[in-house]
Amino acid sequence: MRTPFNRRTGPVSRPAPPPAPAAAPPRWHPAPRTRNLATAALLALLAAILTGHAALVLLAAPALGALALMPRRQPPEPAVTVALSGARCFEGEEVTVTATVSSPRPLDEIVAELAPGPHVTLVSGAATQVFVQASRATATWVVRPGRWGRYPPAAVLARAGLGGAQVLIRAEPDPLEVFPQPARMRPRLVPAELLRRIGEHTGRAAGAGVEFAGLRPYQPGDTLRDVNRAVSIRRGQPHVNQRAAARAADLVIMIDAFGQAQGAVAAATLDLAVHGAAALAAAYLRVSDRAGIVVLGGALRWLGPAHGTRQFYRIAELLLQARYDSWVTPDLDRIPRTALPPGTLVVVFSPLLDPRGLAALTDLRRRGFPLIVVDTLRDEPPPASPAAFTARHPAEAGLALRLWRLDRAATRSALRGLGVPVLSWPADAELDSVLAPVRPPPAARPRPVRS
Amino acid sequence: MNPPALRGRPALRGRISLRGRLSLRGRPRILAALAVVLGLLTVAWPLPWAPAWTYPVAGLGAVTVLAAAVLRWPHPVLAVAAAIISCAAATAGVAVLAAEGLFILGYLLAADAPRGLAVPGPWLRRQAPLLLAGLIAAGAVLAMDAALAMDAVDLAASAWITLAGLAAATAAYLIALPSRRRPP
Repeated sequence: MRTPFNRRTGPVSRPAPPPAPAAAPPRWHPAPRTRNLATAALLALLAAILTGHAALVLLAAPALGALALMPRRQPPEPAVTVALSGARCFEGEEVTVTATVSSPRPLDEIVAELAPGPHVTLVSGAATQVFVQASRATATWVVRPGRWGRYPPAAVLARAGLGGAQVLIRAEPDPLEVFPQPARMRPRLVPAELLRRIGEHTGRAAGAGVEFAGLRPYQPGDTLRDVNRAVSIRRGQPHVNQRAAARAADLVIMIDAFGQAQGAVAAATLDLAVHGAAALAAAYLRVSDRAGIVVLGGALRWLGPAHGTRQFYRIAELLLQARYDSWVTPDLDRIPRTALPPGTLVVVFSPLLDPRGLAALTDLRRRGFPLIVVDTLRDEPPPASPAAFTARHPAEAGLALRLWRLDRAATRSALRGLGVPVLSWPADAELDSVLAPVRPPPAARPRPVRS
Repeated sequence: MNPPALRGRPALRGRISLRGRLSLRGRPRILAALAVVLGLLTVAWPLPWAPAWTYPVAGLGAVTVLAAAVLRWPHPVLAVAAAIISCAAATAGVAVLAAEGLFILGYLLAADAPRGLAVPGPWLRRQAPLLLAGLIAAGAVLAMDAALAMDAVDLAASAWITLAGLAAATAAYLIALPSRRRPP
């Protein structure tokens, strides 16, 4: 697929959704009120028969009278539609959910109950809304999704009652694309060699930027505004200020999404990586830089560097399907040169757990890319798991944890040996401060010449 | 297919706003209080004519009334069962039993009030025909009692008749109310 922004887009393969089970059509059935009244009448009649006390029929008579008055003709099933105010939003933004229940005939009561998803908060609107004697009812809620992903934010359970019968219908809106909310940060991390394109970073070459770069003797054609009077007087000949060129940068964000698709640790590391990638992409795209993304994890997916707001949304959409459980080892040679230009600064978010991800990092570094690795694993294995084993063998449990720590230290040391800084991302730190120690970034390693 | 997103706030027919209303577990206080009062009245009404051993049963019924109101326990019929046991053991007259039947009806209707109901007026008006029907039925049985002297009828004269009555009542109940369907 060709787009104006990048000439090639990685194969965005989506796992086929499982076939939805054929939902049985909702049917009318006795309402709890009908059941309660009938049960009470039955109990009273049984008491009358068993005790031989005929006056106990008086206990059942009002309930039977009310049951007799309830209409028995079943109306057609009502239609329930659920709509969202938008198809996409960011984390923390509010989305309006509107459920409409309509029936050809007026119903005694319509109850619409909202069941928010696991990471969704109900902001306004009563969770249960009741409409009396209506043939069409519209219930509105405002919800706030709290986690990125593609999922329906809530389900609506509609209950329509007429006479002694009721029907229950569960309806869900179309999936909502919730983009990760990018944290505010400044794009101060740039590669040593910048593009020959106008941007906002200070380049090495002299140009028409705003940063002071040096002094040189005046030459014909220099503007008088650049004349440095103090230096000119001191040296006895006119000197002018030189300014650094303002250049743009390319940034490729890489996410190591290998590992289990389920689990708290996997979700936490991926969540951190997605938020970090969104923050970096937003920061660089805001200042006219180009940003791209490569997702390692089963199928290799990438998005070549491009600029503009549209690129951010394309990156965010790719992030939504970052995890793709597979045992395939990615082949980085498949990534075209346009998607990973030489000399591009690559920031990798990785938990450093999967050897395939480590192999990809090593390969990239040997190909000459300046790499920065942000470790997204914040938690250690709990020392008391399993509890029974720890209770019986406390020494071995502690030893296992120490070995795990040594293994991680060895991995970090190996990466540092390749010239790849590995940064930890503590829970209370912003990504901007995490990346601060590597400013300026490591110089690009010259690509080995193959003989 | 879902319709396109609605713009603005649509006009709602029959919509009842809940904002600004105090509620007890999502139900207006007046309906919750009505359910509790009617439930306790249902349980306590036959006690003056009932033997002492029915008091614990009535206590359990009162507990279920409170549980149904506060914890939204969806089994108000248990309190009704306790009241029927008390009535079966009591020596109350037909007027007392007729009033008890109306209390049972009122309690079951009030306990079934929707949880998200904000203004109880329209819903209460919808219950008036059912209460009227119950009143008419109770009046009809009272009239029949006055005409036929129902207490003189010996329902347990034959074990077979008793058995047939039980079977007929149970079969009618099961046929009228098929198995409970789970919510989708």
